[in-house]
Amino acid sequence: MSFVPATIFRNPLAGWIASAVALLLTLIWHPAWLAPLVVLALTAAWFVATRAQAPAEAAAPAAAAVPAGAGPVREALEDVRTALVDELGHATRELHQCLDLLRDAVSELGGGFDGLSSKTALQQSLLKQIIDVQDGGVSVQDFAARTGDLLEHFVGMIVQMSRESLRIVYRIDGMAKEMDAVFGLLKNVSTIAEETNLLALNAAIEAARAGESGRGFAVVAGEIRNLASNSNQLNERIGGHVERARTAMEHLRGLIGTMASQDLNVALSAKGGIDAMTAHVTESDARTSKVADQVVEISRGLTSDVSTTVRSLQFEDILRQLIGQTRERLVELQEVTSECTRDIEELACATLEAEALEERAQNVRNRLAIQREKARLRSRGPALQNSMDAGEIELF
Amino acid sequence: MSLIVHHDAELDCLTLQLGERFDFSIHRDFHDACLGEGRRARSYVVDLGEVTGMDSSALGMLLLLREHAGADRADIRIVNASGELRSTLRVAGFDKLFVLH
Repeated sequence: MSFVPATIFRNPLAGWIASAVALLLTLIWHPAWLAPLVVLALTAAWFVATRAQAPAEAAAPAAAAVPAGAGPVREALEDVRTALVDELGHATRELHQCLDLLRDAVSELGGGFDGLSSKTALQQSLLKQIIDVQDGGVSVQDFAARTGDLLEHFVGMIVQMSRESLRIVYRIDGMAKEMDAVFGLLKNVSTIAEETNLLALNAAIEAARAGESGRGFAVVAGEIRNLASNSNQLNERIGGHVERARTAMEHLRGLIGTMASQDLNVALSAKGGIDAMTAHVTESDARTSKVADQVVEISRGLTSDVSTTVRSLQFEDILRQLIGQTRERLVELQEVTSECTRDIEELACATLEAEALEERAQNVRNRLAIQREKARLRSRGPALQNSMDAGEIELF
Repeated sequence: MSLIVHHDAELDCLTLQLGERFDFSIHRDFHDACLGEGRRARSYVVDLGEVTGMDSSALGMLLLLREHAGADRADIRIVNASGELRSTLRVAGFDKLFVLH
């Protein structure tokens, strides 16, 4: 059934005639439903005709010797070849671009990570310097400890001084007692002098009563009274000296007492301050050391991460190899397509002897066989790197 | 009274109970109580329970008492000292020379 319109519409003239008839029909007989019906019928006929035409063209090269339809087949094959070769050429160029982009990107990435790596190393060494300085130098803790020692020494000295001052004060007290004793004795001497005076007075009275015979005795009594008076004067002078000495000693005692009484609160609060400072510094040291440890750990992790990342950048090599290989394949495919389509074209269109035809067909088969062999060898050839983990890159 | 002295004849223990101030003002009483000739007890107790003020002369007196009582052989206990006094004594290194309670 469908064969009839197909044969009709394969001829363009038949198509023109059919269209003209349809136009006339619509002009002559024109109910409203006819025009869409005609359009539908024409479309269906055209569709069926093209469907029938396509397999016919595809079958053309297979039906080797049909020189009658040679022109369109040659053209069609020419188009196919041009399209395929162009496409393959585009693909090759795009792959080339890919490769360039990849190379640039990977080189930039590599440079960036190298910079990161060297900066991390620098950071780590600086950190190490800080830690070394902290470990080696005089720490604030040492300083506080030494200041504390000094303060204790200072307090000890004050206490020693107080002790010695007290010892002197007690000595002075002892001397004062001796002075008091001397004072007491001087009173006794004074009493003796007064009694002597009284005795001399009595003797003088007795001498007067004796008259002429007692005259010598009266002189002696007078001398004794003089002695007693002198002795009293001397006593008073000694008493005055002892009194002044006592006053001076009392004064000295006061001075030494002041020296002995030192306020310890200043030293005590200083000691408290130093203790608090030491505790603070110890805590701060511990915290600093902990943070430094953490930073070192982070830095180490960063180095390892960078190393892993740089190693991962090896994918460029693998990718480059793969893309290179694909490009090669595409170029070969281009050649094969070009050659084979030409041969097929000859096969399809030329009027050749059966022998020559067989030779051409054999050519095509051989060419394809060579290509298959190449592909096989390539897949067997030096193995491509498939995994990133295959190589280790050790940084520094 | 700034200094109360109590002598336990049975134990031969001399207790010195200080008043509010333990400083130079009581040095003579302190001397009379325990530093005089021929008045050496076997052990001493210094009660600082009521003391609020103390200067270096108090520490000097305690050192003299220690010497008087036989230096390293002395048996002197310092009791009832407040925290502040205790830290003063410690700064002066008295925790190594006396028994602090």
